Amino acid sequence: MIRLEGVEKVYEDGFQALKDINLEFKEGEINVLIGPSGCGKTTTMKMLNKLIDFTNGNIFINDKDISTIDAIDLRRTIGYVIQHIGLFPHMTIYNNVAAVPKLLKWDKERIDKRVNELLNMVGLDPETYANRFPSELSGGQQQRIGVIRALAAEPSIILMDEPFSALDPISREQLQDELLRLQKEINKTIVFVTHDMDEALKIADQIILMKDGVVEQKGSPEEILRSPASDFVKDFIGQDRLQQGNAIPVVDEVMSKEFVSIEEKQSVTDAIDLMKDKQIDSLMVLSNSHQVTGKLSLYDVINQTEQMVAEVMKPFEQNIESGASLSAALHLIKKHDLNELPVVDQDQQFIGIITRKSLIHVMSKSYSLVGNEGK
Amino acid sequence: MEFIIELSTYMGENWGYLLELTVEHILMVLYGIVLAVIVGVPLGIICARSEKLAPIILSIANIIQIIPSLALLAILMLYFGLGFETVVVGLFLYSLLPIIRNTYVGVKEVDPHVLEAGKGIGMTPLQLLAKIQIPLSLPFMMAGLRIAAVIAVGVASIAPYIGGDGLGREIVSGINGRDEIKIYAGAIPAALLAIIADIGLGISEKRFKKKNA
Ligand SMILES: Nc1ncnc2c1ncn2[C@@H]1O[C@H](COP(=O)(O)OP(=O)(O)O)[C@@H](O)[C@H]1O
Ligand SMILES: [Mg+2]
Repeated sequence: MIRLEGVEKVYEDGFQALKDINLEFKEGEINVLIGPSGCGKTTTMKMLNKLIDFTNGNIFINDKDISTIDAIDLRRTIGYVIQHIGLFPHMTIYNNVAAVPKLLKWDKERIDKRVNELLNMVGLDPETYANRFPSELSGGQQQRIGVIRALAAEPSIILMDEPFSALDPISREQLQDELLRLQKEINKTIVFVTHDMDEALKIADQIILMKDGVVEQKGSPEEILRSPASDFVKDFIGQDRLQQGNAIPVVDEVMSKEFVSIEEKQSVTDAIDLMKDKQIDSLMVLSNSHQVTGKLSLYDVINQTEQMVAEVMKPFEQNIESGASLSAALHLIKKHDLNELPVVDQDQQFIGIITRKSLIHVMSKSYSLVGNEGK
Repeated sequence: MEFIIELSTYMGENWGYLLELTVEHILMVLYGIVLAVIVGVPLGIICARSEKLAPIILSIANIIQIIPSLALLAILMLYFGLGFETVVVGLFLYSLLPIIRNTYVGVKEVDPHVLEAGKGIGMTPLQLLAKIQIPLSLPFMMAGLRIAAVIAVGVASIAPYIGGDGLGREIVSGINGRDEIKIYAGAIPAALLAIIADIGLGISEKRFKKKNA
């Protein structure tokens, strides 16, 4: 984890590039710094591996103050990818990828193995590419090498400064997809600078929107789209994307707050009577503290008339937080093959329930995608 | 036609002596240039790293270069006496400027993004120099070497005036004896040496460039 506390930067010429920056980059997350040119993204990033020193404040990496770490040692433990790729033109692809392991004096066998593994990871056949020079590769291939060079010595942190912005749109998309796929395997703490909002929305776990050396807003892509903190943020996101953001339904809009419930301590016979009375085949079960804890369906109660509700009910094992997107809910429902999914607020208090049926109904209505995609 | 036959007969009869002079010529140039590389490359690197020292070092090398070669050798003779060493010192001084200047430009010209990448992955300043800046400035250094070699082959021809040898010996004795044949017998190999140095070093320069492209 990386933490910036009250970090400021004043350049030698007196220009204050950063003012009171407080940020946290969580482990295993892609943190995207975004903002107009000159807002201080690169400055922020380069302070993390001491390519630029800061004037005030503190930066911690895994709770260690980086001012106590030697700059060279620090850089060898942090991957670094730049916009201009910056491969060493006089070295083969092998030697480019092996650069950091060589600095760390790994033995030859270990380096060979690692280089092969990395080239395969980005779909470049080692046999074909290891002995080529950077100039013999396409731009997209070169930046793949740039990325795996940064990964070579298994750093836990990777800094990427507009890594894909010099590429053509198709290569850019491909590399974004690959980064997301890689990240699932490698699970690094990534700090990623871009000025492209689409890119940020696509890859970010956390977006940090900067303007004139201050953090204007930070949050998940969804949070930023749903509630932009200022007109600047709105402008930067753009009207099109905001509308898209609003079009993404959240679970709250679909969940039902009205359902028939029964308490855990009641008997199954009471439950059957209630179902008959209301003409339904299932009930929500409430705990003593009036929390919904599970479900009781008709199948559970057949031949169980001697029991109490608490003994035969099916407790809920999954839930989803208010404000989450419908696609997240759908994902959970599919993954765990659920019929109902309780919605809870931030304090884990039950506020409603989503059923599989209502979800599919809403999704098919608002997207009419189901038919189109033939799913 | 007659002249050409005469010249080739002379060269054929005296080839042993001419070869000896050629080898001597090459040796003087080689010593001078090797010294110039040993001193000039570090000076060029210092220039590239220090904005303050660069104009000073480059101006001094420039001034040396401006002194006419005969005058420079004559002045050196006052201090070092007659002989082979004095010529080598002269050739060394003469070769300095192209080597310093080209090293300086070569190191300066290294793509700043490549340098940033090297720094960013944790190379020390010395590693940056050895693994990136010097290898990438090799084509420039080779070009400097080429210029220096061609100049040195020429300047070495006046070595006999300060007690040196080489192909100049044959030329000077031709001048003194008004012997056209002797002048050509010295001048042609000297010119060939310059051309070979130019072409040979030019090829290796291109090879480096291609690799770095
Ligand atoms: N070495 C420097 N000296 C003075 N000002 C600088 C220097 N480097 C960057 N800046 C200024 O700091 C601001 C932030 O720069 P930077 O972090 O590179 O912006 P971004 O990456 O967001 O485009 C810019 O206004 C830039 O002009
Ligand atoms: Mg930038």
